[in-house]
Amino acid sequence: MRRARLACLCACLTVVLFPACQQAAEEEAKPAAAAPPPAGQPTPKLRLPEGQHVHHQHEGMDMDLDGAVMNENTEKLPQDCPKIAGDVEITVKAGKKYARQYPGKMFSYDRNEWEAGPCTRVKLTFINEDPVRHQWMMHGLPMYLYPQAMFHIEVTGPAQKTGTFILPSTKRTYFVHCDIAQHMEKGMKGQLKVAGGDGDLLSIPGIVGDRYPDRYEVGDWGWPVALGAGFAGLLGAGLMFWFGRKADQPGPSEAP
Amino acid sequence: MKIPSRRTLTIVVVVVLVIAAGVASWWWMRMPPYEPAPPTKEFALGTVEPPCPDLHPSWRPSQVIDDVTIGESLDCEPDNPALVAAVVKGTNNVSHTTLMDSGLAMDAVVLENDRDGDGDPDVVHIKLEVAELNGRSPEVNFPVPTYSIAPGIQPGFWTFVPKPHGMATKDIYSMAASPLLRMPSPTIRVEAGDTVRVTLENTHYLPHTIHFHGVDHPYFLDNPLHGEHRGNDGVPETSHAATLPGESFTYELTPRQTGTMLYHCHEQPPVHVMMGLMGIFVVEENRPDNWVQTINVGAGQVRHPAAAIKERYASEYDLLYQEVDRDLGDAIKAANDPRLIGKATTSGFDITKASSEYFLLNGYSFPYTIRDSLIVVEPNQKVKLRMANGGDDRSIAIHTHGHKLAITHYDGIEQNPSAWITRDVFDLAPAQRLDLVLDTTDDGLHSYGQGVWMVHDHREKALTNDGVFPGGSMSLIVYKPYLRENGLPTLHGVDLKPFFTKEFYQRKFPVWASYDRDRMLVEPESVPPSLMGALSLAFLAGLALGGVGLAGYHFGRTRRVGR
Repeated sequence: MRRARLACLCACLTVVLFPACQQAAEEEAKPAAAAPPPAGQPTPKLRLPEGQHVHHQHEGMDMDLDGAVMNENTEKLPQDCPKIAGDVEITVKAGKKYARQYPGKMFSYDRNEWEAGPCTRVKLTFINEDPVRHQWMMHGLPMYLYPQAMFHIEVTGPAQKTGTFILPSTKRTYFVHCDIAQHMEKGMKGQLKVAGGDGDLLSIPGIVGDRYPDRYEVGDWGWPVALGAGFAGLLGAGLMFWFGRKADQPGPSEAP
Repeated sequence: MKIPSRRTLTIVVVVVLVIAAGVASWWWMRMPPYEPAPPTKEFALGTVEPPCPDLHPSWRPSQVIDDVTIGESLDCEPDNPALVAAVVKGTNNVSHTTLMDSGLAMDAVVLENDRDGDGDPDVVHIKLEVAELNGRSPEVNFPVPTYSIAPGIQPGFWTFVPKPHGMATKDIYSMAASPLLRMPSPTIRVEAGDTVRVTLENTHYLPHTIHFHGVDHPYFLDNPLHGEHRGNDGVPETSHAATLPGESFTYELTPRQTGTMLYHCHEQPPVHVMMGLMGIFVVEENRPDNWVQTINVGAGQVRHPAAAIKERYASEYDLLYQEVDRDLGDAIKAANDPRLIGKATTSGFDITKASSEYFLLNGYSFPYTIRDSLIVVEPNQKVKLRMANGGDDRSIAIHTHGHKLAITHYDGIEQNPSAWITRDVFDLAPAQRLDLVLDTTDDGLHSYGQGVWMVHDHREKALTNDGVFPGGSMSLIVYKPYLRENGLPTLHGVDLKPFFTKEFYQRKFPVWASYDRDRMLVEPESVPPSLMGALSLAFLAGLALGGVGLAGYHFGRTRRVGR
């Protein structure tokens, strides 16, 4: 499907210098003055740029060295919302440490379920506490406002990013995950419920189980098995004894 | 009922046996009537994938992106020119459009600081993640994200990935891995004398390291980014503990010597190297204005060769041969819990009993190798091949049809040209590298002329996908007149269609079924069960049962009498 371009939020500036949000660059990051090109060299010639490009804004993608916010929407109303019903702020923390409470998982969010009212404007702050990439990617939003039907924050390391989106009025459970290979599978999955949601999603740590759960080694069955077998044996012996007694008794027709 | 006497019974048995023997001898001695053998079975071809999906024809021609010249690449699946531009110029220096098209994160390849003032950056900071391909999901029962080495073949892999941005899949509608997430781990390419920092951002759920094999690197680092004295060799047992999930570690090196080297994970190498965590590491000569292609995703053709290579060669290819133990790869599909996978890939795995089912060249097995790993040449050219063995067998034996190539370097060390050896089978022990010059001069020695010439491992099992030929790491040297517009060679042999079905590699479509015009070679139909046969079988079974019963009866009777 072709990527919708309706929500082109910003003018397409291929390179924007943003000294304000410039990273604390290393000392040697300062680019050296490029040597004058020797005569007779074919064009084009690569040169280190004079300044550092640290911020990109383009087609709904707002990106810098800390990460990216995709499809931010602070104003455009979903068709079914007459006005913004309210503003909520949600802070999501992501990291390995949040998976410690779920044995068998490796990455997670501080919470795996969020709630918001219909037509609310959500200002979402995503804090990554690991020195690796994490994402908060929400699917199922209206395509006419959010290309690929998603709102997405990605933080490239220990940093944070904030983005805003407006929810439609529908009662619905939105699917949220980190789409780095194996991060969702290993626990980084959640659900955002609007007006209570329309059910739960699979494999939400602490909330919903797995369709294909793992099989674990079964522990020592000795005592329950011995007890069960002993009980069944006694019961069986008792029954046999009782039947035997019944069979030995002469029936009424055989009575002498 | 009166029980027949033993004597009567014996007579009956003997008579029956004699009659049976008579019938059998008659059957054997007679002239058999002609009965036609069953006809040849019909086989329907499964869903045929397009041999070349031809998704990006515009990527093939030579082009300039953000002042980076990207050479022509005529493969069916050429490398993304935006990606090449981003890793030549640095993800910190390219335009937004190029960065977005490359799929890389902004800090994936940071190039800066022309220390020696020779017109190219001398400080390189590469960030690598670890991605799992064809892994387990607790929600669906197919491998995610999906990466096929050949039709329908999806072994589990771990691979180093230049730090991407966005999704791990191609798009929201697909479970196929994004183009950056593939085998093998990418080639890293730097200039001698560059300060190279490689940050391992461990996005995976098991510990990993990076060991720079053959690349000049200090054992200890005293003033690294972390600000401490620590190991830099990537060996958990000697140098520094492995990088745990969700953590990162920066290696630093300033290689003084050039050559074709390797890098690989040194945590549990019998498992982690075999799972795919190995790539080629090339140190190029230091030249002025030498912007090297820092990353070569999927290895293969280098679309922006370094200055010293361009002087001497028409083109350059990185060729990494690997092999795959399917059972090891399956370990990551059997569980989702990292503890269970960790156990299955350590104490639960014994490499001394392992075997390889699949053989890869640059991450693919035939037929996919012809989509992305052709060596495209013209007459009277010199082409540089950097060949490495990432497998575990005693050696590989790469044979070039139609050409004899000279070995210029062993393990990155240049030989005196008078000592160059020219041959047509190249044996490489595990982790060895050869630099080869492919000379397309048609002199009956270097080249036998234009054509479509195979390049394949002459261990014949490496010509198969789990025993099914044709497969494995074979590729082709293709002369340009024999290359079609979509990057596939003009082939003059059999129809390739069956090879682009998963049924062929599941042994469901016989090898000759697609071109046996006379229908005299393909498998016969099964024979309908014959009534006579079934009856005879039943009669014999009944006879045997009766015999056993009779024997039992007599045994019991004898005992009773004896008592």
